[in-house]
Amino acid sequence: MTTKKINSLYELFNCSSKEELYLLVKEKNKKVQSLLNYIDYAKGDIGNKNAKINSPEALGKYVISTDLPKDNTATIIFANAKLQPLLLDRVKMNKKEDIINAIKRGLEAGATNTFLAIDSTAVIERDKKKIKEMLDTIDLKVVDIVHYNNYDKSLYSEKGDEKIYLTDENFDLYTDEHNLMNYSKKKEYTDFSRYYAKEKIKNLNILKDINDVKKILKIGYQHNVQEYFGFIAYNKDNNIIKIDELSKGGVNASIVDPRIFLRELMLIENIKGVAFYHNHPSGNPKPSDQDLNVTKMLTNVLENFNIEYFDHFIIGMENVFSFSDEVFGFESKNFKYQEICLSREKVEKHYLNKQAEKTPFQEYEQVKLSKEYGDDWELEP
Amino acid sequence: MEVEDKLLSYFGVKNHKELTEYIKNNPTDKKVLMLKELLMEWGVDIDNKKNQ
Repeated sequence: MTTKKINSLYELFNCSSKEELYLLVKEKNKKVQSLLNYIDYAKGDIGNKNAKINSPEALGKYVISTDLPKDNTATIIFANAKLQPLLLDRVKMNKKEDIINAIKRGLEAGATNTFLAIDSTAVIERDKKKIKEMLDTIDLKVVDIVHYNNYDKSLYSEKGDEKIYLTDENFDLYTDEHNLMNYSKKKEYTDFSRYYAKEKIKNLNILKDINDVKKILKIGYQHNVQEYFGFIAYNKDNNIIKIDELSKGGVNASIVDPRIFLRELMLIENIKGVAFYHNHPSGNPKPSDQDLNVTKMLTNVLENFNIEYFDHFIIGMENVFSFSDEVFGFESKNFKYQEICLSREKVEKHYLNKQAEKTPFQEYEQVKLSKEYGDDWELEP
Repeated sequence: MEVEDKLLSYFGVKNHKELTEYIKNNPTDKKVLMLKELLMEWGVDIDNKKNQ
């Protein structure tokens, strides 16, 4: 089989000449849809690689620079986490296959967010709901939907809850300044609090400032509706040199991939040890069996690579749970820290429980019961 | 439209943002010159910095 070498743009679109290609573009022929999409994308993004769609006004400006949505054709603008447009696509809103293919292209482009532009005079609410649902399901968050009204030449942003009027002559925007808002301002408080926590913690000493570290972790993650799993790396002086998130969405062996986190840790210069943290969106910091398994797996991996295990914190609404402090069998390898964590009483219980061969989770439950009701309480086997 | 984006595959990029950067970084590339010519025809001057 021989593959024909494509020498020019017009050959790519099976045209015999440049003129034929230009004609197809002029006619907005579906055969050159990918070219039409890029022309539209470029119109809204000329010369500015850092352009962001960070407000309803910016979305309005972007949309009016493109071919405005017409009939049941919607424009999907795929964007990255910084809300920079990555890809522009068009779909027939009642054609599921169209939408699926566009989603595949969006994912391929590396998108995490989307904006929709629809023709409000033609669109059916059910179709709009469906496409939004499909995008949300695949975690391509729909940041805003802008409705174009061909009769009064206005754009309406759902998020901004405002109407933006366009003049016929030059499509300048007329907006009420007071109504303008920034998506980033409206973005959940939790994004900022996580950022704040990481910024604050990276200047601390994990041993001397451990109480502050835990306090800041709580502020940063207690309100998150998603689970985030992160690490805090420190050097030989116990100064924190890096704090970062490894994954979000859940904590289990498949999500906290040891290969990924090891790669991260191995690249950190002068790393001596690491603490892990994750939040429980339920607000209850009590570790699950899965948390215990993941911690066990991580501590084993660290040992193999001579990286000191410090602790694993679970952040709840009111408290931060510490594995080193509260679960026997998961003591810190940083002995100074472990001295702070383990009271004499716990050490004794530790050895007693070891003899009884209780699982770390049972031990944890037992300590909790003892704390609350005294030593007479025994955990049901 | 097929799943694969013909234009992006032709330039070996993942998305429109990367394509724009490719165009700017390879001003003498034959493929780039052809695309820029077509874009100019539709009023898109990729080298225009006015929006920066």
